[in-house]
This record gives sequence, structure tokens and C-alpha cells, in this order.
Amino acid sequence: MVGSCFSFEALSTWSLSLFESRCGGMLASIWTTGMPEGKSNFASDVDWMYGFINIVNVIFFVPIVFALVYFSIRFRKPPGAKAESDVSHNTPLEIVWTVIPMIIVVFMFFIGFRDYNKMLAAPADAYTIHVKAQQWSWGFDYPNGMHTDYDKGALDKDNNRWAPTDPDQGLHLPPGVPIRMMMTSDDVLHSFFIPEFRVKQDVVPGKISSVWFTPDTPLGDEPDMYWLLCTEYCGTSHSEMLSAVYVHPTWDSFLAWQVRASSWRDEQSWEERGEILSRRKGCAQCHSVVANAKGAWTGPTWYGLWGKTAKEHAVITRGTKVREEIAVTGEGGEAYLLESMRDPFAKLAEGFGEVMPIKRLSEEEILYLIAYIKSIGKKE
Amino acid sequence: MNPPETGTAAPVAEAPAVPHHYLNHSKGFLSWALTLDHKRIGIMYLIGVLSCFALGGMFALLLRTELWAPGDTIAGIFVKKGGTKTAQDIYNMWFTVHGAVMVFLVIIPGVPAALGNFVLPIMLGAKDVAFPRLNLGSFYLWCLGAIFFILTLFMGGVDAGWTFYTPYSAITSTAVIPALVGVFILGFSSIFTGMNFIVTIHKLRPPGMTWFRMPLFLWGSYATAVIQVLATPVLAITLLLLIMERTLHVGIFTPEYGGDPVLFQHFFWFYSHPAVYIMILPAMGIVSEIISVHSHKRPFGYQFIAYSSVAIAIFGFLVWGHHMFTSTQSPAMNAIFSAITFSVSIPSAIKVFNWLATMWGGSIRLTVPMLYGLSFIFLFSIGGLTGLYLGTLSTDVHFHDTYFVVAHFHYVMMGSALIGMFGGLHHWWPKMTGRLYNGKLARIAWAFVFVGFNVTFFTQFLLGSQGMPRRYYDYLPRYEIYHKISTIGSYMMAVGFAIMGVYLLQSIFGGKKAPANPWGANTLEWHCTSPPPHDNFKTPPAIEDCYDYSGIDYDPAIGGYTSRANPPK
Repeated sequence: MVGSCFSFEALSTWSLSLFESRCGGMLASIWTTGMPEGKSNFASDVDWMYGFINIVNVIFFVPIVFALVYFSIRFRKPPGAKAESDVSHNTPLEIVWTVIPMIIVVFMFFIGFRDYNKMLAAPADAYTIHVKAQQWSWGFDYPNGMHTDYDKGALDKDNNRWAPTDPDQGLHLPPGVPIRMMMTSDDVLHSFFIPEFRVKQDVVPGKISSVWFTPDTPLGDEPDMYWLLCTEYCGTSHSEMLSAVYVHPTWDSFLAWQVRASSWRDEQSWEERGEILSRRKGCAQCHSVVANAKGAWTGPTWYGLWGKTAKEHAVITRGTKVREEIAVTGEGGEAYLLESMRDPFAKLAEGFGEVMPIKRLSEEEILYLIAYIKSIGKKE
Repeated sequence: MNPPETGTAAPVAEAPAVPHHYLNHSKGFLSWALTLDHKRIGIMYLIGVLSCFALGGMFALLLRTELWAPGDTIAGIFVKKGGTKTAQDIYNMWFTVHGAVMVFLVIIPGVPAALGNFVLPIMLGAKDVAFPRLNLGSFYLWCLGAIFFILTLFMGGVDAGWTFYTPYSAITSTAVIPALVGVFILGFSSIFTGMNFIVTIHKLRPPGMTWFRMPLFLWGSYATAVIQVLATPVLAITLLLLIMERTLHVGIFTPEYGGDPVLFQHFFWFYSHPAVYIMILPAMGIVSEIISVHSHKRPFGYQFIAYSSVAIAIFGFLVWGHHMFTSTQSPAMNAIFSAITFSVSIPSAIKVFNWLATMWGGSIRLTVPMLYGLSFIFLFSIGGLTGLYLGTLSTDVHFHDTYFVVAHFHYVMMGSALIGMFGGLHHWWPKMTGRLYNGKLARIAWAFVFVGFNVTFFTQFLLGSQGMPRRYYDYLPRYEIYHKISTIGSYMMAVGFAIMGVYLLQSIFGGKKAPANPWGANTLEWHCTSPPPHDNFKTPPAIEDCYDYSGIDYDPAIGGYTSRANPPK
């Protein structure tokens, strides 16, 4: 649509190459130090533009500050002294300082526009991953039917760095191919941002939005790790809506991960699978699993939930708003837990708000979670 | 006729000891609460705006303290045991309240309603604004809006962000509706002030003061008033629609009911982008006055500055989409909005060059208002130049919704609009109160504010280019050092503003008497006494060239300046 804007393209390519060959390359590398190291096909364009604007800004800002300081000293006078000059305007000068910035910003707009156009349409052969954003987690569906959940990581206290907790989860990317993200949201606005890739795209409920990039292939044998961050405010745990992203060095590595990640259940009991799922699906963000957890929790605790008698557990029924006492035991208890995962507000635990997002959980996953909930703080 | 005059002879004889002015014109609570005097309304606005500034600033300090280190720092203290509000929720409410209070209660009414109300009619040589009752009404609307905001705090707070983006604002369980009603009411307050100023400038200019002989502050105020009247209704409509959506579930912005969330962003920024110019244009007007007066030189390129105010006001309506480059807005619209956005940078650059050229060859005094004026040029230059990264499509994709944007708009909204307002406050303080403030303390406070501001917000440019997103309660350890520096800067600013509070109060209760014209200005407000009399001018002043400083002479005996054309009476 816009890429072929008559000969502006040729003009800008020519001026860019001229600039880059003379001084741009070196200066840009000096001036882009503020950015995290670029790791995708867009990084060089974006960083060049960043460096270019840095240089333009220095060229404008330094003389402005110099004039500000120099005039303040040079023309400082005691009270009552008359001004040296009474010049009221100088039309040629004013036209010059109007026209020069105009030329610069037209150039800036055009290069930014040209580079942005490259970010728009993904190549036809791109590897497409469906990203599902919801409060406050990411889910990733791969073309072969595989699914992974986000991995928000945890503080590695020894090294004071944030480290992944579950290296098989998170977003895994194959090397050397364009990747296209097709993104949908279940609830509110979110935004997909990986700083090193210089890409960002809002995820809007009711729409499919899309972003593409080709990550740099890692140099060593290990996958490169990045953080995917949510950059559109989405409520309580917005700042915890991040996920580890891996770029594999080879397709073999990528496929080996797929095999590993698909067989995570093999060695685990139902309770253990439920425990893993409660982290992957984000349940553990709002439901505490230990006795007398500190602080406020958005959802009711799972500790000792199973086995509560009708006297100990009350819910508010949707619609009628009737308070109802439910024993969380037996088949009735299992049915209640299942309903609460599928339709959380049908019977809302008393004292809590309607905030729980509805997760897409398979039947087995629900069984695992129920088995896990039953095991927490069990009454002997 | 004669007896009453002789009857009042005794009080008149005492008059020189306690000169009559607007502050002692009448006494009692009602004389303020029901006043139609634009000066008293301006003072009431000023007290309100500065109180809200303290409130918003307190939330800013809480935010910065929370961000001192990753994980919970202080928000956890405010968590109720057994409650459902987590430390994150508390933090989210803080930044919502900070943003909403600062934008809607402080910066938007700050210059036009507080300083503008006081100064604008006197600058015109008028007795009052065109509609004094409407003026008082708009002050009470401001109060009502403020009450709704305070109510929101007591109803558990609101966590939608000051932008109220849907669908989150439509589904969050916090007190969104009282906050929206508050903003709605404040919008009307703003519209009434704007209408009042437009009519006042059109109809109450004295004979001889043509459009191009108006002080530049009036040009800035006029351009602002036009935006207030044209843009604010759109915000009001948007907020009403959002209230309807929350209460009646009418599908406008929320996909669940068949609405489009991006539509909300269009409506919101259609107001809120021009609102940036509601904040900055009057501050630019103040700076044009300050630079000219304290350089004792005619503003360079008066017509360019005046036209650029109008140009900014017009272009300001056409660039709202640059807030939405990553929102799923169409790429063609992104390109158009990017192009128009760059066109706003031109009149802004012109103003900076004109201010500098005004200083050239002047007789500069580095008074406190002048220090704020110079700071404005410095900070606005940074704010404006960093806008280039955000107007450029390819770089904005990286910077959008990161701390880079936070830093950019704080340079424009606080570093420019608020610093401009404080410049104006220090410039007109002697006129408003009839007192001088402690110059030494004022310079120390200025230094704290200026240095603290840059430490706080320049660091945030680095945070943003590193990829730190906005509105994060917690963050990756790699950002910690920048957050620490930024927090230290915010405390420096707090010290600066605390000192300012001290010397301004000291000035009211025991400051030296101010001369009528302490700076050597020649706009009309400096031709009446300090503080001005109730009716501003006993006899209409002679209208002359308000930027001609040749007839203004320094009189060391009074520590101020006298005018040959309008000698003191």
C-alpha cells in the first residue's frame, strides 16, 4: 500500500547510504548505547533512527543551552539598565529557523514511515504462533497443536536476577525464520513487547492483532532467553504479566524441546500435575496454598478448602444474590470446584469480587487441579 | 451631596496607612465565597490548585518510594489483612489518583483558572471578566469535581489509570463512576472558564489595544480557551458513554456488549491530546511575558509567537492518533498522524528560538521568575526534542508505553506546564499578595526543584529505552539502579516544594511590602498598585505599547520601577 511511494524511496535510500557511509554507522553505534542490544531483523533500522534522532537532538539542544547560559551571563545587567538592542524581529532569520527544522522532520517522518512499513505484513512463509493474552498470563499455541503457558519467572536471589522457573514453558521460537504472532485477548487490552526485538503490538479483545519479526539466531548451543512484557495496563497483576522467551539455536534444539515439553506428565502424579498447572495457568497468583498466607489475596485460599463443612464455606449465587452454604466435600464438592473453574461467578465465594479470569482448561487439567486442591492442607 | 463626604472624611484621612485593595475591600467568609471579583476567584482557585498539587505530589512520592526496589516496598503497609485489595491494587490506585489529580485538578485549571483569572482582566485594563457570575460558578464546579475525586478515595479508590481505557475501566470493580462524574464536572468548569476568556478578550479589550498589541500571555490564554470550548465536550460525551456502558451495559466500547475498545481511545485522545495544549499554551504565554520583562526587551518575533500559539492550537486537534500507533489503528492512519505530529514540532521550535533571541541584547536580571522561565526553555526543549522519537513511527513502536513516554510527558506537563505556572506564580506573587518573598530561599527551592526534576525524569528516558514498561508495580532487577536514582530525584523535588511552601507562607504573613512594579514590566497589571484595588483601575490607564521598556525607570528608593506614561497615583 505505502511502500512504493514514488521516488521518495530512492531518494531516502540514497541519502541514507550517503549518511551511513560517511559518519552514520560509527556515530549511530556510539549513540544507541541507551537501547538493549537489538536481536531481531528490525533492530538495525530502529537503532539507526534512534541514533539519528539522538544526533539531531544534540545538534539542536547544545546550542540552545549554550545560548541560554551565555546570554544569561553576557547580558546580565543591574536593575534599571536599558537593553542593548531593541530589535523586534528579523524575518529572514525567522524563516531560516522555521524551514531548517521542517526539512529535518520531513526526513525523520519519512524514514520512520519506511521502516515501520517493513514491520507491517509478515512474509507468507512465516511460522505462525497464536498468542492468547488474558489477565494476567500468556498462552502460546504452535502450528503443530502444541500449547505452552507463560513462565513469569522468579527472583534468583543468589545472582540478583530474574530467572525462568520452568524452562519448558514460555514462548519457544525456532531459529532463522520469520515468526508471526496472531494475538487475541479474552478480557481487556494487553500489549506484546519484547524490548530486544523492538516490536510491540496491543492485543485487543474482539480483534486479532498481529506482529512479526525474525529473531537473531543464537551464536552458541544454548537458546537465547528474553522477556516478553505486557505494556498495556491490564489491572492488578499487570507487572507480573511477563514470560520467558527462548530462541533456539537450531531446529533440532527446537524439536527436542517440543518432545520434552509434551511429555511433562509422564512421571507425575495427578496432584503434582495439578500443582504445576496451578502455576502455569496463573491460579497461584490469587489463591494462596499455605496456612495463614501473608497479605491480601484476590481469591479464596486453597489451603484447607477441601473438606470445609457447610458452616465454614459460604457463596453468593449469581442473579438471585442468595447466600448459600456449601460443604466442599464429596461429589458435591468436586462439582462445585469444577463449576468454579468453568464459570467462577455462578457461585462466588463470599467476601470476594468478580475478578477471576476464565481459563481454557481441558477436562484432564481440571481433574489434576481438583486432585491438587484436595491435597492442600488436608484435614487428617 | 456634601454631608456624606464630610462624614467619611476621617476614614479617608487614614487611607494612606492602609491603602484600599481587593483583599481588604470587604471582610468575612461570604465576601469570599460569594465574590464576583476575578482576583478573589483566582486566589481561591490558586489555593485549591496548590492543595491538589500537594495531594497529587504526595501520591507521586508514594509511587516513587514503592519503586525504590523490586517487590513490595511500602504499598504492602496499606493492605488490609483479609481484604481482597493486594499491594498491586494499592499501587494501581496511587498512579491513577496521581495522574487524574495532576491532570484534571492541577495542570488544566492551574494557569488559566488560577493565574489567568487574576491577571487576564487586569492585563486588558478591564474591571473584571465578561461574565463574573459564570466565573464563580466555574470555580464551584471545580470544587464539586474535586469533592468527587476525594469521594473516590474514600470509596475504595479507582484503579483504571487516568486514561480510563476500556474494557478495563468498564469491568474493574473499583469506584470508576464517581471519578468519571468528577472529571465530567471539571470539564464543565473548564468550558465555562474558556468561554469567559474568549468573550472577555473579544469584547473587553480597551480602545487602542488591537489584537497584535495584546500581551502574549493573552494570546496563549485565548488559544487555550478555544481548545477548552471545542475539545472538552468530546471528553464529556465519552465519559457519559462509559458511564452508560458500566451501568446499563450499552455496547459502545466493550467487545462483550458489541463495542470497540479502540473507539474509546480515539474519543479519549481527541480531547486529551488538545488538553496537552490546554496545559502548555498558557504556560508558554507566561514564559513569553517572563522572558521579555526580565530581559527588559521586546519579545523577538511577537507575531511569530502569537501565530505559533494559534497554529499549535489548530494542529493540536489533528494529532490525537499518535497515542495509538500500536493500538491496531490502521497503518495508513498511523502514517497520517505521524506526519501531522511533526508539523506541531515546528511552531514549538519557533517559540524556543524566539525566546532565546528575545534574551539576546537584553538587560537580563536573573530574578526568581526568570530562573523558572529559563528552566522552562531548558526542560521544554528536552520534552519537545524527545517527542521526535515518539512521533517517528519506527522508534515509537519500541518506546510506546514505556518509561520513555512517562519521562517525555513529565518534561512537557511538569517540566514545562507546571514550571511555567510556578514561574507565573513567582512573577505575579507580589502583585497578588502585595508582598515580596525571600529571594534566597526561593533560589534554593528552585535549585532543588530543577535538579531534582532532571534527576527524576531524565533517568526515566534511560529506563524507557531499556524497555521498562509503564504502570508496573514490580520490575526486573536490571532496572533497579535507574529506579533508585529517579526516586532520589523525586525526594529532592519534594524538598524544593516544601521550601517553596515555607517562604510563600512567610511572605504572606510577614513579607516585605511589594512595590507596584518590582520587575520593570509594562503590561497593564503592573500599572495598578500591589495588590490591585477592588476595581483594578480608578481611571482607565493609558494604552501604550506593553513591550516598550524605554519609559520604565528604576527607582532604588522603592525597590521597583515607575512608568513615565502611567505615573503612580
